[in-house]
Amino acid sequence: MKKRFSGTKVIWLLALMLAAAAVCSFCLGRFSVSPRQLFGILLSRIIYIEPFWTGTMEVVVFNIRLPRILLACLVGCSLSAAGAAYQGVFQNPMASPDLLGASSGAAFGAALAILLGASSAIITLSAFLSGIVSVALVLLIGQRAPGKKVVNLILAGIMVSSIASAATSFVKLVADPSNQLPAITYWLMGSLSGAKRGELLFAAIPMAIGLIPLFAFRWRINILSLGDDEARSMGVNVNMLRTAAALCATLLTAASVSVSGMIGWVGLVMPHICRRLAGNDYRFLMPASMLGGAFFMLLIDNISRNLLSTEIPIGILTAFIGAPFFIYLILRRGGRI
Amino acid sequence: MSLTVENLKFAYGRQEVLKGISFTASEGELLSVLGCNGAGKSTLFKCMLGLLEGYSGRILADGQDIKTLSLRKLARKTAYIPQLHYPAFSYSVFDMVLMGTAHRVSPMASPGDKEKIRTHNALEQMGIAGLAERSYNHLSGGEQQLVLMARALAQEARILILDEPTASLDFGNRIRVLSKIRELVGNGYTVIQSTHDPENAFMYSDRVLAVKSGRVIAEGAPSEILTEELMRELYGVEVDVRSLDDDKIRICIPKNRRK
Repeated sequence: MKKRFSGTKVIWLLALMLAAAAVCSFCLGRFSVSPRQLFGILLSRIIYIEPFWTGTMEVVVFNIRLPRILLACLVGCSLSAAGAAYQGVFQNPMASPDLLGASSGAAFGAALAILLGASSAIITLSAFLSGIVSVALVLLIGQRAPGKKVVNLILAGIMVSSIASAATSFVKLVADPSNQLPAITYWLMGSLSGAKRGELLFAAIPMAIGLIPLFAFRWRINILSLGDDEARSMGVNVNMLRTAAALCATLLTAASVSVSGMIGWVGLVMPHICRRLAGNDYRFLMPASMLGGAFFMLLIDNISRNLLSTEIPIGILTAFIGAPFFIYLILRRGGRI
Repeated sequence: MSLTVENLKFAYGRQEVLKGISFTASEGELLSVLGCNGAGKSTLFKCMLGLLEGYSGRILADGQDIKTLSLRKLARKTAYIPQLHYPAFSYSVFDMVLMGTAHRVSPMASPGDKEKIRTHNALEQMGIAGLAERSYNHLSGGEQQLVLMARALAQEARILILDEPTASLDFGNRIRVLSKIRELVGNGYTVIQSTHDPENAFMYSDRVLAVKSGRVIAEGAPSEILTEELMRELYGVEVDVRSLDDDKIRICIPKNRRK
């Protein structure tokens, strides 16, 4: 793949775009805040400024928009980093964060919790845990099966995912169609509208645990993407690295899904866009994917909040925007992704 | 550095693939392993690289049992040059060769200046410094083979294990790659290659190992191996072996050919 710019430049560019998108997200919304007012509000936390804005604005900025912006960035960053990591360690350009069943497992956990009438905190926790359990199951099957590890893991992932999806369908079937079923359906379509400080904290910890190692051993993912035998002969502990990367990516996916529902495509599309911009070298690709994912998610969330008078579920938007873009990439590059 | 294999046996489940193989490749020697598909060459190579466990017998790299060496330490002794294949993602030639330095870099770090200098030197040594910024997947097969050899040099291993390095190359690249291999042998590297080409094995190797159904059926100087009887036994075909140029070259002529 020809890269157009140097990796470092791409990273700076994405960071700038992310900052600009964050400013826009603060200002846009049913309750609009001008950029001047926004900087006043933010700065007033550090130094004293005579308010030239209303108290409501301050509440909107700090209690509604700030958590939502942070959550959008974290979710986008996590899904995109998880996708990039899976693609490398499974030597498969089509790998995405749901490869090992983390999202379908989490979806089942959430649906079940809604069926049992749990509170929103329990729904989040249940989604997170069942996402982790699904992947643990996949890893266990993959370890026990003889033959090619990568193929076994991917096959086990497909199977566990389809079992989880079937279980989710069953939960929907028995759910109360007047209130539970819409709640499950809406949850599955993905949304950041529930962003509160509590959820933010809940998601931030596993995300940090997942993101930091992936960032630290990003160069080694290059070597893993050449294949197991080659990587081992170069002195890389393939099984340990792959398991560690898969666990980190799983933490990221399960944490994202548990706070925002099913948001597809980001984890597949963003790493590929970043591959085209920054090249395949994970030293640049990983940070670029993290920033790009955060930017993309902020963009999508702004559309979701502002396009229509009601919020459009994010999962629908990412599919509507992500899939055509991916088709465009395939047409341009003839499948040589 | 030498590599010694002592009474190596390996089975995939019940299927015995290696049935007691022994040989030594000495420093500054090119050892070619001949044998038809399924003879056990790939399994033998995987064992020597420490990629397969559960074999019986011993493999000594530089006098040390490879089972006692960590992956990183083993990577300093033996390097693997696989058959050409396209990686899932394309890297630049420089990045590809840089990966050979992985055993010097701690798992949580990226390579630094020292590793980059090593990479540059390895590219120079193989005469492909001009390709550094090119994309590996867009190179010709011969160039790709040289890149993989440069990566082995950047790895600093002195024992190079090549899996059919000339199999998919055109005539010119085959000669180019083989003469580079000869050059490395001249510099004191120990090279073990598998090959399907008895004539090239005769011209370039110091010693030949003939493997059939997991056993060594002949071992020795090329002139002892490249005979009509052995070709019949190894490949099951009838050939006339002719000698040219004071027996510096031997060619195999199939018996059933255009008259």
